[in-house]
Amino acid sequence: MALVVDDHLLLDLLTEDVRGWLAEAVSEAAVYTTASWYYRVANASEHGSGQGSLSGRIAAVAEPARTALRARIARLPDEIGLVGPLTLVPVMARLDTQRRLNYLSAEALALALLTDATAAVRTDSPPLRNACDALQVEYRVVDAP
Amino acid sequence: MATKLELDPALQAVVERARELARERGELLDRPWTPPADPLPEAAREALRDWVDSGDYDRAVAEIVADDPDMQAQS
Repeated sequence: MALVVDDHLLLDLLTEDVRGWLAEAVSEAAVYTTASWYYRVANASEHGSGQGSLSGRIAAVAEPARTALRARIARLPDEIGLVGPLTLVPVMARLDTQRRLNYLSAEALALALLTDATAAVRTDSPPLRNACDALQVEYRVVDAP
Repeated sequence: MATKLELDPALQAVVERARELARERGELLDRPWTPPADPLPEAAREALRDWVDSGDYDRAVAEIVADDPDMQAQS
């Protein structure tokens, strides 16, 4: 069993704030995320406006927590799988969905197919949901903890 | 128990090939998730959690998406 998690669920895992359905699911499943979702987290952490960026908050955290927090974003823990574009792009390119998927959605669907995973998201995306349904990939919207 | 429908054979072949490559490249995990061996200090967890709970993370993502629709959760 495997799970492909979106950026919000990735943040839950990075903060070790895992409850409810997600806690049960990850106890039995290998967990993957996509480069796009990881990029959203990493880029937002550096480039959000003013105090909106995580880097602004990190500056206010005392050491050694500051270094630990930077490291957590800069390098995903080994417990979270990431499959690279050399592997995934051929699958993404082959997807033939009713509505054209953007890069983020195509990558998520291809990864879920490759890992035979449930696609677990906090933000529902109807095009991704419909594409998962068409390809018999389980899709689940997970509530906030 | 529900049975999965067969994928289109051409897509299935591409997926199988990619799975094989992922295995060769060591990209597949063979175990369930466990909390990271090196837990975050409480102050770091709080900063990260507050970033998300305050809505600042979503605002930062909205800025990214405004420049790059390929990073959008499609609606």
